[in-house]
Amino acid sequence: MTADGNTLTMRTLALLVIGAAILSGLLLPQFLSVYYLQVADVTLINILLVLGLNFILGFGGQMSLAQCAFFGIGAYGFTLLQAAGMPVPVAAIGAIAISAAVGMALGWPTLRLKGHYLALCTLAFALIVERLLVNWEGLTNGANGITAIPGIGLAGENDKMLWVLLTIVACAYLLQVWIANGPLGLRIRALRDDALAAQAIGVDISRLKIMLFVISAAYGGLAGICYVLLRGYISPDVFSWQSTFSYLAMAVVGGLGSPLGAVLGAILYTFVPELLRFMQEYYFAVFGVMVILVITFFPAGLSGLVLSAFHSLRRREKSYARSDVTHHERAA
Amino acid sequence: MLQTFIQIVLVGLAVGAAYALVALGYTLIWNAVSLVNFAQGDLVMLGAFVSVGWLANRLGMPLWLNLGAMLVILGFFGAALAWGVYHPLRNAPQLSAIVATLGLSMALQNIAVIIWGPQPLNFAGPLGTTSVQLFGSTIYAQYLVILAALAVMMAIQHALFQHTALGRAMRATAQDAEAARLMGIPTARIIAFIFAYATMLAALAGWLVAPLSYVSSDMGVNLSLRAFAATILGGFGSIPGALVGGLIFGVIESAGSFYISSEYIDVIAFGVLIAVLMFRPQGIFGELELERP
Amino acid sequence: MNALLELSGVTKRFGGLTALEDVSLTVAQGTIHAVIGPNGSGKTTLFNIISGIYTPTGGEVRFESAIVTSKPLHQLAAMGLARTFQNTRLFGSMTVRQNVLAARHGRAHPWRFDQENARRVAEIIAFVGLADVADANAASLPQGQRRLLEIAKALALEPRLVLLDEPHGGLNHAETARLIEVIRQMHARGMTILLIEHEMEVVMTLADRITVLNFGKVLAEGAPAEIQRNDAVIEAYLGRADREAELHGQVGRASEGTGAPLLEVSDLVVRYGDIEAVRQVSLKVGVGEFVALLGNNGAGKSSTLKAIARLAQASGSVRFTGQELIREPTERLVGMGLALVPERRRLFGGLTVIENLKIGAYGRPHGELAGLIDEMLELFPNLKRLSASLAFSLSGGEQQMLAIARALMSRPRLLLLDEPSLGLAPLLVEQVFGKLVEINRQGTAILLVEQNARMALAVAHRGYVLSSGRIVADGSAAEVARDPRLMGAYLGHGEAAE
Repeated sequence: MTADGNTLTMRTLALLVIGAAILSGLLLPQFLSVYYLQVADVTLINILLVLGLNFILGFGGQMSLAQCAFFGIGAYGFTLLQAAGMPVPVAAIGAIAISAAVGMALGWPTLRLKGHYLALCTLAFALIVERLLVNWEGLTNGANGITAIPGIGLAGENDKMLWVLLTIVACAYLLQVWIANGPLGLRIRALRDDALAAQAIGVDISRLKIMLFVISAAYGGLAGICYVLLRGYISPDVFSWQSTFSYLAMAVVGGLGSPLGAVLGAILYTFVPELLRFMQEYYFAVFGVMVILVITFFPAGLSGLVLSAFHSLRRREKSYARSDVTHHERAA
Repeated sequence: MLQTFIQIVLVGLAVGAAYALVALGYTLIWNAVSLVNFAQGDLVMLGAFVSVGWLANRLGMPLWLNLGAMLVILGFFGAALAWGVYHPLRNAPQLSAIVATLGLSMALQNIAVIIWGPQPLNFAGPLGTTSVQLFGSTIYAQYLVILAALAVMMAIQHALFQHTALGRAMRATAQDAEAARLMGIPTARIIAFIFAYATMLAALAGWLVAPLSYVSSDMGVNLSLRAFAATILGGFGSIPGALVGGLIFGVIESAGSFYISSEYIDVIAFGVLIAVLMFRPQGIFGELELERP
Repeated sequence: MNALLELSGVTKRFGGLTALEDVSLTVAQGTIHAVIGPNGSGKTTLFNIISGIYTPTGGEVRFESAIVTSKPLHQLAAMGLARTFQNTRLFGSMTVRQNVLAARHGRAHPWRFDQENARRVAEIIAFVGLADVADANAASLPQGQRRLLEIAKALALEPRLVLLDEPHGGLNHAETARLIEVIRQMHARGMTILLIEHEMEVVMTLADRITVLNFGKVLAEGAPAEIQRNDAVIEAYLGRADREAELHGQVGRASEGTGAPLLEVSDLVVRYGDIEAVRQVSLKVGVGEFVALLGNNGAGKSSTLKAIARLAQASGSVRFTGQELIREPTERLVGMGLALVPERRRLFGGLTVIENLKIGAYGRPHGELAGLIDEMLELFPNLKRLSASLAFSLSGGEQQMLAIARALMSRPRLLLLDEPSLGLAPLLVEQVFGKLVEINRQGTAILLVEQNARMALAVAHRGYVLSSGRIVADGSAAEVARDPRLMGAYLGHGEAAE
């Protein structure tokens, strides 16, 4: 892709995303009740979490189950830094920095682990973080949580928070697309497609894996900050270790490694079931089966389907939109 | 002092026995087809629900008798899993298989709620809260039943694996499926049997722990995690490792909870696990993956 | 002579196995240097050491006079050393252009690729001849183009030394010619090339200098013409049979030739993806016959056997005792009287010797087991004292004997063997072959795939020679042994590079 071609398509995509965000901001409050606006807000936060998961799992192909831990670290970090007297912007940056640092600390020793070993290690980490949040009462006030967090004073104002969240998510989305198309993005995809071949073209895969952990952790931390801004109170049960599987399910059904997939997956998992409350168990049972079917037969997920339909209409290649991450390895 | 210690160890062993049964399932499936079945704990949950929720509550079969029926049902379910989940993914990268079993776990939990409702089930079992005196300490009789069941199961398994043609075929398939086919072994069927057997082990664990506490749809996830940790502790791929790993993990939890801290026990236990992963990922009995020419 | 790459005394051990011993090699700047050798001679290990994937147990590697012995692959790539892989490793989720562009990541601004990079990528793609498919997905390319893309990726690093790992695998004539041309052009532009290759025609055409490895040691080095005539090299490839005459005398009488042959293969085609490994092969084995299937590495011998044993998908016809096998699943074959001793034995290492034998008789009635085991222990007496030992603890020769015994437990009418001499010392090879003669005299037909041509022809009734997936010679064992096409299949024909 020439640099020109890249910028042009990026520009179109940016317009589309910003347009969609503005439309949502204008239309949703007209049609949704206060309750459903909050659901929409939470959906946006989940989109952010899954976008983060995209880096390490979708792009990098590394099985990290620690996303909920970074969510919690970001939320509690932001809260505690405010309690220590820092103004909101500083506390926010600090919380993201802490998440990123923890991400590096986790990434570095796990470099040698693969597959199920890495999965278990990150899951164990998530469990440990949750237990610390619950039991380290001196720091976190334990299971009671922390209330009356000032934030930017919009806690509970679901419609105004909608705009804030739409802005943040739109930026995070575009950032991911931008990274995915530059040299870094190609390095990441090379790592996922074939780690040995990536090394053969000069990619330092150890450094890259750590970078992915850090970026994923930063996105997770940002999501934590958003949650605090939205709710004004936090408690450890929001960041339970089991919730990490939810984010994984969203990522898979949406399409691993696809920014659009993060949006679709989060909407399907968070928003739609609220509309179908009466049959939630059926819905999630089907969702679980969808995870199996998608990963087996159509790893590009829902976003892959949507984009294929779109491509056959427009017949133009969009490199950032391709999302078939788990291609099956066969002998040449 | 000593009484307490013995009690703690016995309880730890009993809980560890449940972990061991699940860990064995992980190991057998891994050895056979290089798949880590993250839904193994949910199979425990299914076993508990089927025996308590259906056979005991609906059909009125007492817990003791329904074991056989439940194992058969779950055995068939396991074989169905081999066909429906493993078979399509047999050539897929590891990531896909892990994700698929996680999807299976989610589906099973929700299906359990659909079938048996959201409330946890309580079942006292024939032994109820009977306690026995052993070495001067008091423990639930059910714990002894669990330990005895594990011992009996290991004896049966040893006889099966070492002294029958089927057992030989299973071991051969696990070591080299293609070579096994060259010998005329119907590997697809053997693999289905291995899945069925591993599922029955998990279901047995469910039947054994059901009387100890509530049977709920999310009880499996916790078990999966701990049994998985136990498997790695013992050495992934090693059958004695699964056994020993499970028992040791149970004792670590029991002893750590009492002697160090019951709130931070998970932090300790899983901290130990992370340390094992960092410094000795092959666990106690496992083998390091060496460079191959 | 400017030495671009220098290996001194490189040794590599994996546990008890010595893959390379005291290998010294110098690649002069601006040359095309080839490394050849029979299966298992250590070529791939050598490449992996040079490219930093393995660390040698001993010795030193120098690139442009700098010591690079323990440097990891990605650092070497940045230093100007590029390599390709035998099984092409492409980035399947990206287009051809992106694959090449990815390799330029080190030469880009942190956040974007500039015009210069885009231009160079287009140049490289045109150079290898992939301009038409530049925006196609890499995973969708046919084999020939995959190999070209693999090279393009390496070129994007602007390397001074390129390691090509069997770049011609699975290509047809046109594709091979194109690849040779690309390599020549690379050479013309000043790149130094180190090449592993089995296709002797290619090696002889391209190489300035050849190093021959055998059993992990350097056997010979020199210009292609010298290597082709070198007796030690010829022996390494074709084997030797000191006791040729003696073994010959032991071969049982050939079958009478009446009635239908036991095994009849017609127009067999085996494809892996779009690589054609076996191209329209036809062969026969009669009742009680001993037939050898010969050819160099990559010629398609193993694939032919695998197709017959139904371990590989194939089209064509494979008739055994009149029944068509081509669609049967592998596990049915033993019951029909066909048994395979696979390449590298593939014993059940965690089972004892007796248990391995029992598995061999899986389908037979239980009552027969004891008798069969006794028979096998009679035939292979040195297995007797090892009965309770685990199979993985046996020596190479013992393992081979066990593998054959295991296959015989099912009382096959036809025994297939895939390179039984692999990894065995010559004395053991003779023992194994002697046993095969004994088995054949007792009535079991044998189809033997072997790289050690001379030894195989010393014991067989008839032979076929495979080259690039086709039969190029066949006849009685004596005829084939004298046929110049036999040597040609292993070491190439005619002119070597100037």
